[in-house]
Amino acid sequence: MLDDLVWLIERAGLGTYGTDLFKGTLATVQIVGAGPFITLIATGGAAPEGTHNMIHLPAYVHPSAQIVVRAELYDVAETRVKALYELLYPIRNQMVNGTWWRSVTYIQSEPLDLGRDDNGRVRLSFNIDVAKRYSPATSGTL
Amino acid sequence: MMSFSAWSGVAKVMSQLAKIQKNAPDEFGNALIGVAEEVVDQNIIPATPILSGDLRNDIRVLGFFRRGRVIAVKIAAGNTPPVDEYAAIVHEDLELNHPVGGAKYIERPLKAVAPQLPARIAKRINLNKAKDA
Repeated sequence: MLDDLVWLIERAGLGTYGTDLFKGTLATVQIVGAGPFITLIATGGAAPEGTHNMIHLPAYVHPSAQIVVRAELYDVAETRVKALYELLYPIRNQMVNGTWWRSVTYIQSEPLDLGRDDNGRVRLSFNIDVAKRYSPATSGTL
Repeated sequence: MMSFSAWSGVAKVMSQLAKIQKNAPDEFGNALIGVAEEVVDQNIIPATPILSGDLRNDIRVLGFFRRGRVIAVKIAAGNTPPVDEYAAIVHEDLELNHPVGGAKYIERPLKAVAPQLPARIAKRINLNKAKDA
């Protein structure tokens, strides 16, 4: 699922993977600079759904993720996190990176301030729950 | 050819239906509270990071609440100071290392038990009714 998010964010011009867009909590060690930097973290999600026709793999999966934006300046982090929030919110019943996404549900109404990271940068985050078709190509990174 | 039917007991059925309509929300809500308290004790507290123990002691089941046809409970941490200052951050900060428990200490266990909840709530309704009988 994180690969799908990378695809969406790069396509919208809001980040470049490996430069200012990273996956996983360990990515924080790679991040040096004022930002804004985006970190995508898989948070597990809920149980998958099966259907009568899909017995070997789940028909739909419900992964979740946390999106964190960090920057030296609060306003910079806020502008980027707002853009990401508005990018992902409308996604429903559409193909994303070759996989059918049914919905994106937001857990919070506004990004949460996580405080500063070890380098003194502001961290703003929000969480999403996704309902999507299982994809052998990208669901492995749930 | 004509046929006639005689119905008896309609009033009794209607009275039973009215009773169900009146009592069902409370029965469901009370069962939901019971199941939520079980989930807090069995799943959420063991997943909660522990330093002083204040965070674990501060997790509460609130409710139940009715809004239209929705009946819900809230499972909340950070109900009292000073836990209210850090409960949300500990829940959301995935970069912190905890020797015991971890981030998403409410969300993860709750999502894990979600598929079992309808059956557990139904069982609890029956248990509560048996106690009251």
